[in-house]
Amino acid sequence: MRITNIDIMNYRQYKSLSLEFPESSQCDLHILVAQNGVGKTNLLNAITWCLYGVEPHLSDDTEDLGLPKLNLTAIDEAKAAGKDVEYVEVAIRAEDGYKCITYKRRLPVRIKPNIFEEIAKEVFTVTVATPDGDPKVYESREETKRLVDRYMPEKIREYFYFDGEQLNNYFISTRKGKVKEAIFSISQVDMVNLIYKRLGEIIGDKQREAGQKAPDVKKVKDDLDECENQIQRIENNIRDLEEQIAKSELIIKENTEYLKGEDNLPELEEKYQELKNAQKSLNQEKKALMESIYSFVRDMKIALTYYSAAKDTLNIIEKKERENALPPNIDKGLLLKALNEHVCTICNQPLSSSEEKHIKRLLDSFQVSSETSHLLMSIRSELERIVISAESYAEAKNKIVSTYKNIERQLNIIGAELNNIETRLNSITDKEEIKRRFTERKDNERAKQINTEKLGAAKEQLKRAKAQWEQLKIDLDKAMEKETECSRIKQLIGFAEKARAIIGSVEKEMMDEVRQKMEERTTHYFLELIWKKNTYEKIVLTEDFQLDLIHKDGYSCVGTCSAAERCLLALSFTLALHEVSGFNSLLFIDTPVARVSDINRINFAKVLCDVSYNKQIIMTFSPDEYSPEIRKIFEPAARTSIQLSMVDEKVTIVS
Amino acid sequence: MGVPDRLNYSTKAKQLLEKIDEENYFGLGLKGSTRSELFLFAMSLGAETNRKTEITHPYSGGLILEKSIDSKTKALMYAQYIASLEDPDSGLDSIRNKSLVYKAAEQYANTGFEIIANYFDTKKAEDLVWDLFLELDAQYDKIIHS
Repeated sequence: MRITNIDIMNYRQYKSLSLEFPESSQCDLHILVAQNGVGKTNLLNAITWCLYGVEPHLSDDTEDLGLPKLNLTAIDEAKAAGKDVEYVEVAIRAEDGYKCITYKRRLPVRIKPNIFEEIAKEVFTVTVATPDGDPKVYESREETKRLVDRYMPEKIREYFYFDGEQLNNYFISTRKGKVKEAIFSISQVDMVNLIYKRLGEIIGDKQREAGQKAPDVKKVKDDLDECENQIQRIENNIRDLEEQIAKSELIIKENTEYLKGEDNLPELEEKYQELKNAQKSLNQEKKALMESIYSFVRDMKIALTYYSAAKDTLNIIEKKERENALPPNIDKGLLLKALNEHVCTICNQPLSSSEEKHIKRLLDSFQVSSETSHLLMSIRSELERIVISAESYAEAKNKIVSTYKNIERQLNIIGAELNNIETRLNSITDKEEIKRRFTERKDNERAKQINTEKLGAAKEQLKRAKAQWEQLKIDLDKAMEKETECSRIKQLIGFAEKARAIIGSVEKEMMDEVRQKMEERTTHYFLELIWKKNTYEKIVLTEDFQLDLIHKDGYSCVGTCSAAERCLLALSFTLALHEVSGFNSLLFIDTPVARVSDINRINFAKVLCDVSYNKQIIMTFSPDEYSPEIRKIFEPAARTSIQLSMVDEKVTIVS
Repeated sequence: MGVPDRLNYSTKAKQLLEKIDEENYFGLGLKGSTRSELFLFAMSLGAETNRKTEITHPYSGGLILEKSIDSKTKALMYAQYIASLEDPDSGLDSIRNKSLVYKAAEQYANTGFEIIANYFDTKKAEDLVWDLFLELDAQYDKIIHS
């Protein structure tokens, strides 16, 4: 099937646009060139909205602003004309041999002063016209869906219409399950799978029938049904977990590659912060120590300066002590009291005159020397401390200075490390992106670990459920054998099971064959597209439908190849899918070479030209993207080359 | 002359101490030392030069009241005085003359304040400390080998 016309009315930038894509005997290649914002991607949205009722490629601006589907000029005109309702409409005309098929979606919108209300459901019709009969219009959901899915199945629409900007993340954002679905659809395994499922239903029906005839059989059958449901739930869970793990692995691989040689920025920053804190703390310690050193030096200056004086004074005191020249510490008050009262204050006996004279002499002589003695005694211990302190200077100095030097040494080491880290940090330009990727990798490593643990548990659970199912199956057979009425049913079930097993193996063979073809064709296209001819060996589609790129040296490198290479890989996969599927439908690529440059662009243009000999291809480019090197290849081959532009920044027209 | 009840210093030293307090230079400001400790340090610097400087313009309030003079300062004021006696054996009782002891201490401290003022004007505290270490090493060597 090929698209011949697209008519757009009142859809977003498009007030009224008719595009024609005439057939050619050569390349069926059609190029649209438009500045950013003119509506290239909304052309893609118009197609997906018409066929599937979805707009998966809306820009953030459009979504953020909440712009209506209805064209802004159409709104103004409707208001001016006093219309209450205006319509958004997209029609796609296509040819399939002698049949002409028109897909049309129409949306009525109520015009109000400030809001535009979608007043009824969209109406989607498919009209099929043949030369020998009246056109037939299909409106029911089932019929219209069937007529879309026959040519461009919705579940693999991403492989027909896609946004080149997103090719970089194609195998990350596209769930593995979707790749599997695509393979299922293209290999027509859908049909076989349907038979497989139908046989399963027949077996189930027959087992239930047997159950109705015999209560024992019913009970076992109920258990078996429950067990099968449980197995289904576990398998779904396992599939989801495997998908999540594969997605995490891809993200980890990609980020690891991006971060290669970037050192470990978060760890580096963490280390930098730790060192800064250590430096601060050491500086505080150094400051406090410096205060201690000042105090130490002051004290030592005093001690060493006064060492001789202190020691000499102590010697004098000791000498006086030895000579008993220093009077004992006598309470002069007691002596004075004894003299005044003429009584000894110790024994209470009256004092004789000679005793009183002796006390007077004592008082006279001690008055002077006891004050001196008292002064000397009061300074003695301080002087002893000064002497000791001065004598221990060397040891104390070594201790305090070595502590200081140790801090200095540590500060020097930290300073050098900080300089080193600062140099490395300053050389990193995209710090924010690196940090984001580190976080993303860390998150995915954690998610992968958790999901792997869950997967292990789920697989164990599945093993047990399957063992239980086997046992229940044996129990069911035994229960049915006991009942003569069930024997014929049992025979039917046995036949259906054999048939189902055969269908199952056919399904697997078909899948394997398609997978093998897909691998081969994807590899072919990729090696055509890529300029590095001696780097990659092949592309592998693993058992669990994970696309992997194998390096010449034998290791997997899908997560580590460049963004441009990933785009080309996604494109190769899509081209292979189209080829292997036999769905000869349109391939629409919006901004296909956004992330591809140089020689890869030229290869891209050549490959697409070749493909367009057998397939209709529509591509949209920005003028920058439509560079001379690809224009040179596309222009001679393109059947149509359309330039789109905008009027008053509101309406897109063909220039 | 009455019995001294405080230690005096010059108005010039007073101005110096205001600046020292502001920066807590070498830990000598009020944040790092008591006034008694500061006085003792100044006195030791002066004593090391063996040069007393008369206080020509004393600050009226004095530097430290008697009760705030710590025992170490007091001990060294007396030791310094005793060491200066020509005949300590016979003249020891002269230490009872507090005025003489205090005056000598104040004059040595006054010399010390001049030295500190010079330090303050010419050296950072963190440089002064290492210079003083050199002086201390020399002083220590001297007492060890004496």
